Amino acid sequence: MARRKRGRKRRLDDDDGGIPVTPMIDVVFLLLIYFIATLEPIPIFAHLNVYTPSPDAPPKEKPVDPPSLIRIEVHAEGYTFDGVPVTDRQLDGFLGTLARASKTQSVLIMCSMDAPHGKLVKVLNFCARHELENLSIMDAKR
Amino acid sequence: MRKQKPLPGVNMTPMIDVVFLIIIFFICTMDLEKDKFDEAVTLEWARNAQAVGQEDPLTVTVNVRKDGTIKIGKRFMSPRTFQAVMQKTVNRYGTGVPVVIRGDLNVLHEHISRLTEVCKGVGIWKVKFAAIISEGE
Repeated sequence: MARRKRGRKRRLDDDDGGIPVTPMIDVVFLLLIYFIATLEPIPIFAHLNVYTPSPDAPPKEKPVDPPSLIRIEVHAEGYTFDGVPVTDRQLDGFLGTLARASKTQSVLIMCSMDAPHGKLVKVLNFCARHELENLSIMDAKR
Repeated sequence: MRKQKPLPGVNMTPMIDVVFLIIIFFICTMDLEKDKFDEAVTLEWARNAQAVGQEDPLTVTVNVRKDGTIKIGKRFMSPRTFQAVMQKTVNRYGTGVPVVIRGDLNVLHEHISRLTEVCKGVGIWKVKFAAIISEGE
């Protein structure tokens, strides 16, 4: 009886009887190499809101003392801040000064049709840096 | 002659376990939504903007190439088709569908403006411009 049991155990341990795992391991390693080789860093994106009022939003109460509107124009050649041509740096500085006075200051961004989209995004980025929220974007007609 | 002792075999089980875990990790973190980002579009940097958090699953991502070509997913479309697509989206999901415009930094504003006008026309009010904060780690 004991001899028979020992014999059965030996048969189960045999390499011939088990499932061959070598091809599976090969495939698994190939998959691993594929994943590592195609690994790419994931870029971090931002979504800059284009402020358009929701149709369901309640109408805003009119402020007692309406703030003056600051107008930024975006052209293919550069920017103007209240009609004065400015560089990127100057615009950033002006918006910073504006934000220190009031973060709820209304800013109207007028973008020319021939201006590259990147320039408009840059202005929105400056506004985001200084936490200016009350922005409106308009198209400047030619 | 002295009988040689059999060499002890390498225990493969823990290594295979680890390899399987790594594969499961890669499969889980695989970006299946890669198709919605057009590789030909170069985004402008906006290092000060807030990173995208949990995105609405209904978000429509529109790619606009340097030459003004409109692409949603793998499909190129004309402005007229875009309008039809947006109208269909609004009919099905309502006007609260967010639209993200991934405009190339060099595309003229007139192409972007055309899309925002279409969105406004069909009643979509959640329009956003995509920018890049970091290339990733």
